[in-house]
Amino acid sequence: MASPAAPEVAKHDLMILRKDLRLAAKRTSDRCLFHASKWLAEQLNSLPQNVPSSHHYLKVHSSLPQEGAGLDTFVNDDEEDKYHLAKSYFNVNEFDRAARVVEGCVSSKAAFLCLYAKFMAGEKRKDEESEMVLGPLDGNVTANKELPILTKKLETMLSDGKEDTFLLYLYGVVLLKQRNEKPAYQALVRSVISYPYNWASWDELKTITRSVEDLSRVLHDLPDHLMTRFFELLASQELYHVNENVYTLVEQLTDVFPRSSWLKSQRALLSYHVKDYEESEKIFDEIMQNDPYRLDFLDHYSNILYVMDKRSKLAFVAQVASATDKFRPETCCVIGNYFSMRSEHEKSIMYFRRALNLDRNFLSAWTLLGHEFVELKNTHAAIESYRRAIDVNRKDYRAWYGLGQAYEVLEMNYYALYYYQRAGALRPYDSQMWAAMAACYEKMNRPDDAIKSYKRALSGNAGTSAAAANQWDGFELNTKTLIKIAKLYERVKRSDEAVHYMEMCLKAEPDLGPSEDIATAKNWLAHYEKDRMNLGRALQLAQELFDAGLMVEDSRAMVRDIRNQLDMDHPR
Amino acid sequence: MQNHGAATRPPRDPTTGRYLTPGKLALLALISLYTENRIPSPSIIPVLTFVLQHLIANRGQLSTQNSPPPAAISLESLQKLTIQEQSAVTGRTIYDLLLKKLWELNSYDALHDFVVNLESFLADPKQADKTYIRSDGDRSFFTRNSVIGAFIRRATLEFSRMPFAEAIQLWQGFIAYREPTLPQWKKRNLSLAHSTGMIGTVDTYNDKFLAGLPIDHPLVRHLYGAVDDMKLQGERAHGMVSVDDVEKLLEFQVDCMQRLGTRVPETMQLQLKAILDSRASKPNLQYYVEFLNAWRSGDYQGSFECLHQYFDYTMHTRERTFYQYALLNLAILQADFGCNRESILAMQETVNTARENKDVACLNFALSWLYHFHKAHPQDCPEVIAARMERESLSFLKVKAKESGMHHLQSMAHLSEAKQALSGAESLGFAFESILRSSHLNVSKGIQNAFGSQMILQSSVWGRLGVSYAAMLGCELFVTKYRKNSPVEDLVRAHCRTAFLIAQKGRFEEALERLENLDAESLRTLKYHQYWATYGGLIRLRRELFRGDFAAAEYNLQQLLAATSTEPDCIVEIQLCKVQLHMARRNFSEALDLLNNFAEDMERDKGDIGSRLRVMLYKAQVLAKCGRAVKALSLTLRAAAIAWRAKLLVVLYFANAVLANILIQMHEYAVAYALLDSIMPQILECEDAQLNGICLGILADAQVGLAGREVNDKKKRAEFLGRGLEMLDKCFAEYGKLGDKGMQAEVMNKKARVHNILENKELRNEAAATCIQLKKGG
Repeated sequence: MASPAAPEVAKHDLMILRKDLRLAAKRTSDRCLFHASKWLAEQLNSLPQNVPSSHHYLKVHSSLPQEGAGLDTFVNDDEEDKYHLAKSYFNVNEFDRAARVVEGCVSSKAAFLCLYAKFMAGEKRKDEESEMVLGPLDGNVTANKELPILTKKLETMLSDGKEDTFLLYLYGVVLLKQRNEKPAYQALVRSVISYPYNWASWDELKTITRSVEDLSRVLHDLPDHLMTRFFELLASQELYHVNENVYTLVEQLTDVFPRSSWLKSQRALLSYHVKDYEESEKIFDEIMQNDPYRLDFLDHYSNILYVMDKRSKLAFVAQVASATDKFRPETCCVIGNYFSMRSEHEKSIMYFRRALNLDRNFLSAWTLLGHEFVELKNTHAAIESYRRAIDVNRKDYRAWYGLGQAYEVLEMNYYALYYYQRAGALRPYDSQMWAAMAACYEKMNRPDDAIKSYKRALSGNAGTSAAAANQWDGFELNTKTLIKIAKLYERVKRSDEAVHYMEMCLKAEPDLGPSEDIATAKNWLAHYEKDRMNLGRALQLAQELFDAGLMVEDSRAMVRDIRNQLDMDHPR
Repeated sequence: MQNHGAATRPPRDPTTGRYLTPGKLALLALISLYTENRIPSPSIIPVLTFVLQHLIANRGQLSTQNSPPPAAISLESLQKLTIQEQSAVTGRTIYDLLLKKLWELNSYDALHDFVVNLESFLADPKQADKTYIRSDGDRSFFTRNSVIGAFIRRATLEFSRMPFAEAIQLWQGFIAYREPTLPQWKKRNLSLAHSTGMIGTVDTYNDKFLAGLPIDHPLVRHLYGAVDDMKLQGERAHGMVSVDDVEKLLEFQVDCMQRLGTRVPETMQLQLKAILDSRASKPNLQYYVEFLNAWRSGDYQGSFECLHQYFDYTMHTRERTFYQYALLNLAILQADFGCNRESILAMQETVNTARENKDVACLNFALSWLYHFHKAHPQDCPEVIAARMERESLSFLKVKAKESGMHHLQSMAHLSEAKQALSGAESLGFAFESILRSSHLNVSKGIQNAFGSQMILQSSVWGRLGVSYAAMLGCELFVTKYRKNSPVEDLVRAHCRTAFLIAQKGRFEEALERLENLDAESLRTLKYHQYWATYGGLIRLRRELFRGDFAAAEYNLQQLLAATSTEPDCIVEIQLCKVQLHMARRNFSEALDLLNNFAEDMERDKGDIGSRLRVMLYKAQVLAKCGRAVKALSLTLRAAAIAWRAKLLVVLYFANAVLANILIQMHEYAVAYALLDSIMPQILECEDAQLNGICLGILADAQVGLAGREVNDKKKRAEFLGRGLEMLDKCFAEYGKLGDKGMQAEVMNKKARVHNILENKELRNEAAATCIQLKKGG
């Protein structure tokens, strides 16, 4: 992927890129694809004043002259006027009215706006009919009723082989809403091929890629273009697929767009996925200082702070978000997280619900809402919330994991196991998933599988802690897992292995100091040695335990017991 | 739960919260110092006094003094309190510790922690039986129901129900609040300031997460820009008040206006208005305050508008239970502006609604009001009500009030009973008994605001009995001793009464001065101002009448008559003055007509017996002057008989004087003299200069008449005439007090004639000269 830097300065290329992005921003904005337009304009504004050191991406994109031809023109003046009227209606959320004005138009913009407005009207009605969050009508019960009509219309419009990227995009979206993924995928790929700057299509394409394999397949179908790189980065990040390649991607893109906050957030998220929380926090801090009004990804930032147990910083972030806009799902999530951290779960649920009222498809809120319901022991509500999170985005391992936990609480271990496996598939190197899975196996009386999973958890841990030395669950989880493995071995009557793991556990003592796990290990070993009549070692371990003040009763009794035995053997 | 739509609503003013304010946080910090035993014993009392003052004042208990409860707890007051007091930490004052506490809150989360941890100061209710003894190093606790304990609980509760955004606003307000103390705190903590060494950067004390950022950094501006604005308007940040405080202020205003019947001073009104204007949402009570304000200032339209506004806004929260009070207010309002018919209808509706809702308090109040209204404006009452009032009226009210424990109402009912007895010429003893009953209730139940009515009634009873000094004393006593808690109406009434009594002695200037000296605060309410003005006019009118300045009197009279809503007692006086004016101008027929009409009116309305008798006597006077002595005689005799029965002694004396005058006209000198001579001491006790003058003049006339009978015995004649001269001199003095030059001249004329008979030429000439001079001067 990495190619050598181009020798000559390509000022011209930069200029063209700028022009293209500008045009793209305008085109998306003309079609009321506001989010895409916002993203494009952001990237446009993060281009450097001077030509960057690496230019290969500039080379790659250079657009073909016919690309996007006909996207900006109108058949006649009448349609143009109608389009302007419709757009103004759209801007004030009068979708149906807008659609009616441009009905029957054939110009690219007008035709798209007509269908898109209809789609939006349907979405709006759907939201209205869903009523309360988690209410009886919420979820799959209500659907966008415009979808079948739109599909038909789009099919006829696209049947003549016309490659209008935006229509293709809409077609893809409509198909996706109907869970018709294959054709949707094709439509979206066609869309990005015909006009790569259509960020909206990329965004949708990202949601279809379900796994790393998917991603590599997709990349195969796609043109080699600057935007493809963006897509690759985003998709990898969402798939928690972090490796050298992804980092290089970020580096290269940052060369082209040095001031892009979006890229910075992606980098922060990557660090978050490999549990390098401090780095992530640092990047987010930087973003916040540069653009205090930016709310995008702040919910992730709040998750990071939550994990890092930095409550007062979380409060600060919540304060910033709240000062910017109280009624943004991101803000509500941050505040909800804060209250969750203060153990005010009712309040936090209120804020997550508010976030969902503002945007039903706001993934973080669904998952976090599930967590809160778990805290309140409302398992059924928790399961529904997690389920909704998964419906929104099947790549959220926390939701899968949460589902597993919820079922574990309900003692439906087989179910739980399935969900843990799903979570594990998304995060193969996350020891937490494996540990959970192992616990399930343990409960289901499958010690062999449990041991395997625990071992996997151990190795996973080793992997990540090597990549980024983190202190939160490094050794502590290790000792716990080691003891669990040892105990499981004991259960399957393989005491040699058990002793091995217990001894391994003891090795952590110098780093960790006295802890409950170490004490358990020592206690176990002391008993073991005593049974094997290795009284000297047993006495030493018991004495150590007693001196450390752990398990005092037990160890004192044991020390006395062993002394007695010793005395019996060697009477004074 | 709030919804999407709310995104477009205007931003709320950052200086308001529901209950908590930065000032209250500072107070909580002080309390936490106390619980940590950082305050040494000698300082505990002042500190706790300060705290309690704010807490209890907030509950409206201190608002009986005429100052509003201190809403904002300013840092200055805290500083003044604590900067002198040494703390348990050597070398540090309590103020230092307080500042440390305040500045330790270096992020929103710290504030949150601070408030949430407050609960730990409360004693565990499970160990409630344990007694708490302060011991060193130990924390002291508050029981949950102590004043401070309740405050802490309320504060934590209010904080926990705050939405996040509001809590942030409180935090920002707090930053602005403590900002002025930064230099002091830095000075005390030099090491800290040095170690961070920030020059040109934002003060990290405010928020630790902004450390090192320049002050104009976009993030800082974004977060604390509002705070900067607040700093610019430093005053406002300091006076930051919560909704709760605002409601208390409004309640105070309502209390002022309802209980004392006065409006708060203008400067205070402006302050309150400024506080209210800074808010986006108005508490409903404000409309009520506006209503009362408009009402008291006599803005009829405005008060109607505001009353309706208030009840419209409260309807949805309190529903129909408040309907009767709305009606009650409406009825009183209507009555105050003279729409008596409307008012009666509204009050009837009130009575019905109150009955329906079983609101005894409201019902009793309405009935009592209706009774009084009926007494005051009988001509406006429909027959039904009038009949009912006669039947049930007072005894019913008394019983009801007693049943429902409304002591104030019961006390008032007793007074009304006494009043009724007095005006209906019933037993004086009964009236005294009722007054005593009322007084007993007032004292034993501590009904402070009923003292006024009782003492004024008492004073008027003394007045009727002709003990003018006691009457004065009663009023004076009330004004000096009970003014604090009594309604302004009673105060104004007492003042006016005293002034009137003084004027009766002929000391008009003093009376007017006394009226002028009345506290301007009391006169902010239009009604009382009118009452006061009427009395002033009346006294002036009488003065002008006596001085013979008829043009001025006429002018004054016109003014007084033009006022629509005058009290009944004033109307009598004004009408009598009018009669006097006519008499002075020798328009006897008109005076007679006027008196006849007036007497008929009084008859119909069952007016006060005293007034009716006085009208009768004036009529008799007119008749006597016109030479219809016999007719006058029967009238006077009748009046005197009634007055005697009703123990209306002043009127009785007046009747006697008129009678004696008639007797003189009928040449019954000896009888006339005997009649008056025997009661002269009592008459003098009345301290009524006019009455004295008249009586002395008659006595002199009688003496002269008797002298005329003694044709033979020169010595005896001289004796009579000498006594007559004596009387004339006294009479001259009395008229001199009143400034009545016309009468003085007449007396001098008589004197000159007597001297002529006695052939004292020099004295005669002297008297004649004086007479001429007086006539010229007049």
